[in-house]
Amino acid sequence: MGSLDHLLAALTPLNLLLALAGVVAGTVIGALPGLTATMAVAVLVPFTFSMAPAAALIALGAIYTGAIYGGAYAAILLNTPGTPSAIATTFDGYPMARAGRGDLALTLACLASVFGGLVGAGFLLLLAPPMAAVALKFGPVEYFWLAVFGLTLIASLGEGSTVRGLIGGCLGLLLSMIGVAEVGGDVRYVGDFKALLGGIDIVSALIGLYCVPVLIELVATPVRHLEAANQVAGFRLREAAAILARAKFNLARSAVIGTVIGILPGAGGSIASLVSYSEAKRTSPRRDNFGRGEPDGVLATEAANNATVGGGFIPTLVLGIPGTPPDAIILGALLVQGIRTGPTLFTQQGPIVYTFVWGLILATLIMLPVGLLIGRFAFRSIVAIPKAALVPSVALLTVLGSFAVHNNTAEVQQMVVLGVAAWVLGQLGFSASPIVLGLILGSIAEAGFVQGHLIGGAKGSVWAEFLGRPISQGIMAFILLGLLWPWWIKRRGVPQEVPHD
Amino acid sequence: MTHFNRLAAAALLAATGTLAGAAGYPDKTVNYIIPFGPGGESDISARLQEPVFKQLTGQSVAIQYKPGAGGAAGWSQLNGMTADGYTVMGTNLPHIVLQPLQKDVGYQTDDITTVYWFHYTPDALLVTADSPIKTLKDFIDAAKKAPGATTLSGSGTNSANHLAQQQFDKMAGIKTTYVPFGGTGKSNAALLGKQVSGSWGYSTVQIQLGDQVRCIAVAMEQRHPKLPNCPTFKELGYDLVGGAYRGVAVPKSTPADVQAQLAGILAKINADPGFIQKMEDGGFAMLNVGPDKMAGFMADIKARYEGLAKEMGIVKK
Amino acid sequence: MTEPARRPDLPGAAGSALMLALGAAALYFAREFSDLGAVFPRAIGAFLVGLSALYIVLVASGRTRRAAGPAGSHLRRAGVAAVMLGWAYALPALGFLASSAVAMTLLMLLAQHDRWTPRRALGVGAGAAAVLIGLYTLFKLALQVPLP
Repeated sequence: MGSLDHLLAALTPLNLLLALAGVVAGTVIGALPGLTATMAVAVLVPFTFSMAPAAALIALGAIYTGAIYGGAYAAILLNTPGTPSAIATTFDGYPMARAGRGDLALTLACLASVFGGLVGAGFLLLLAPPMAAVALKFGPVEYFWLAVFGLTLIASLGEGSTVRGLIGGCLGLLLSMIGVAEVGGDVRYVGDFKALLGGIDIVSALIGLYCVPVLIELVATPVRHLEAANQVAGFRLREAAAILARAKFNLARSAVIGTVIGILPGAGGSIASLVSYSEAKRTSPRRDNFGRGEPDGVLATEAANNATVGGGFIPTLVLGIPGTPPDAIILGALLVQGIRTGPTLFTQQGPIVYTFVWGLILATLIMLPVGLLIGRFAFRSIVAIPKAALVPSVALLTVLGSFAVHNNTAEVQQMVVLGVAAWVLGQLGFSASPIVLGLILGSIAEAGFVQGHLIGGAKGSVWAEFLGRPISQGIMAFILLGLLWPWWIKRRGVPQEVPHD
Repeated sequence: MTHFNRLAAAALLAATGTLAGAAGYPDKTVNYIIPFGPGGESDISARLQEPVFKQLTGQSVAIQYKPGAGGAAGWSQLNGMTADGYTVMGTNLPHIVLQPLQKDVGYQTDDITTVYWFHYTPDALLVTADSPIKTLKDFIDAAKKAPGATTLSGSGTNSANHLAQQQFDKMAGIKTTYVPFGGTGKSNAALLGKQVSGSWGYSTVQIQLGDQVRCIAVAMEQRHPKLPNCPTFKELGYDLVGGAYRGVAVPKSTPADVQAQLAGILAKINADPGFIQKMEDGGFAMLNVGPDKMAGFMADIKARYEGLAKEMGIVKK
Repeated sequence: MTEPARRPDLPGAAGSALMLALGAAALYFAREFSDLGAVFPRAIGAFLVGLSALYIVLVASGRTRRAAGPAGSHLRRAGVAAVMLGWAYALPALGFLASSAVAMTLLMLLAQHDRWTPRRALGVGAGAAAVLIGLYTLFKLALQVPLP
């Protein structure tokens, strides 16, 4: 088990320097829309070939966790998720920014991310093997129900009509089917556009659907984009601390949700933050304020998505199966170094693994001061820049970002077309988030469904397969709870807590 | 003697000229595009090539990912990329033969100019270590008892894994259900989690997952040096040899001398003992098909896959 | 809290009509898919058609509410959309720096409501140029992204 030696090994000046550099680089890269954590890690891998394995892991882990946190900046300040895992942060982060509480949102995001990251790393340190066993119990059917759970969030996002939200969700699901089907190999809805063979790229779609409408609206009026924080200098830490104290349970639950979903290969930060947001909203006395600038919303999403970093390493290191795309890259980097992951890793290469985990914990702690500082800087810049300079700069970011994903001008075009369409749809009353949810969850839901169908058919009963598995039943219970709870609460007439600023 | 010396001198000069690079290739970073997501066999083998490439040429390789449509997204765009030798792409068999046969994927097999095939991952039939199935005979018996009930995970539809399942089902006269997953990682997870009875993977998967899985048989001529306990299909009486082949391709209009130089570098990497060791440790099987053998190899392989595809009924055009 | 008057949500109905058409198209094109590959498209297409029809019915029966239209200049908004579209399609033709410089200048003009003073023009222009050069270097050199 991790003992003092490993902690001390992690505390060398080189490792600390790598952790610091990694967190800074990761945060900056994650903040730029279009640059994902995957990209950040991929760019750094060649540099790690000449490093010792533990140091390499620490550097990569630091970048990864910084990037996941950094995605919150653009989410809060520009309503554009910097990484897919920050989608749910826009729900409440941007409204808070519009209301003049952007710096508070950034501080909360930082604190929540650090907390979530520590919980995830803690699970990795202490409970990796049993957690990995839990991960394996999730089969295709569980993934399907999990995706459905994420989709039911659409119903509870409640921006106006539920029916319109569901329609948007279906549109997103339809968009996710464009391209070659993962199971079955059909070429669907591509027509003559060969560029669409790979399907609609999620990252450029995110940028287009969220950021372009913001840009279009920005030029419409001379009003400043974000109000500068009125009087308060500093990080508003006192306020943040008070909110945190009140939200202890929310934070803990969100971090656990994030870790658990992080251990599921292929799930990732976006799903984790969506599920924890949904649960936070369902159980909060201020649930009607979610989506309008409720701090608990930001706390829930940011804690969850940083917990996936530590959680994702669990199947990666214990089973040799990557939990998230950055984990896959890290696996490759380790292989080049001659490190074979899998059950023998913890026993044969224990020192490397434990030193790395302590390093990850240290990197997460370093993220606290670093994140607050960078956040303050980002906030001041965005607030101070006049619109005439802000609009072209952000537009440039969207173009660069959507290009950089796959070095493809076609994706820039996709991004803009989707973006303009999203603005039009927004004017007609269909907001972007349900569409995005459908787009992301569509492939997971479909793959899970078809695979479950094949397996169930082979076993003799498809119905038994989908409805008879214990974990699935648990998820289904949550789905029903999520759908019925708000209605039941209203019926009982429980008084809503009025949010006070 | 003088004649010989002159010949030798000329040869030496020519060799030095080639090494120095008539056009100075490469004199900057080469973009190596993998048409799949990170972490797969294509990615790992490319990552292993990276340091050796740098050592041999002094230039680095920038690995990028362009996943989509099982590789077709990348291959359909290959010939539109800059053809100066600084953009290369990974290619895979059976994909580039099978995909255009089934549907319009935006490219034809002959559009892809592969410069070198440098390894293959032999198909392997895997079960979990605690599975009651211990030998190939156990597997066939279990499949015969309950047709269609044996589920086998694999990566992708109409991929090497799928092909192996179809071929072997036919050879052994059994019926199993193939459950496609989006990538080796997910297929492995399903296997380990016992969501399926077994998995059609590669020798690399056996090495990667170690003691958690048992390799029932592998599709090679002789047993893999790192898998002494895994019998070959051939020795058990089934002529199944093959797997997924991987190579490096360039846009069609890349100049011939650049192609030759690239092939030369790749051949040198393939001869590097350290590289060979790491590849074999990972479960890969080395292969050397360069420009001189390319035409024959491709003709052979195309005939083989086209025959299989017709049998499997996946030729839709 | 007073409820806004119940005006029929015509924009929403229009959008729903569009969605209905999309759903129908999805169902139509799904005929050619294999069995397994058609399950989801058919299901989602059906949902789209059903939900859109439902919403149109809701609008027609006066059960919807219409939000107020957006304030501000529609011309500028359209301008941004046009510039972004042009930018995206000009990228392969004109190259990155050229198309970006033009597009960014146009956007600057669209975003500025107050009058331009020479000082302001210089300041904003220099700032935007700095951002362009800075990000270009970051992406091209540090991140090794081959910009057109």
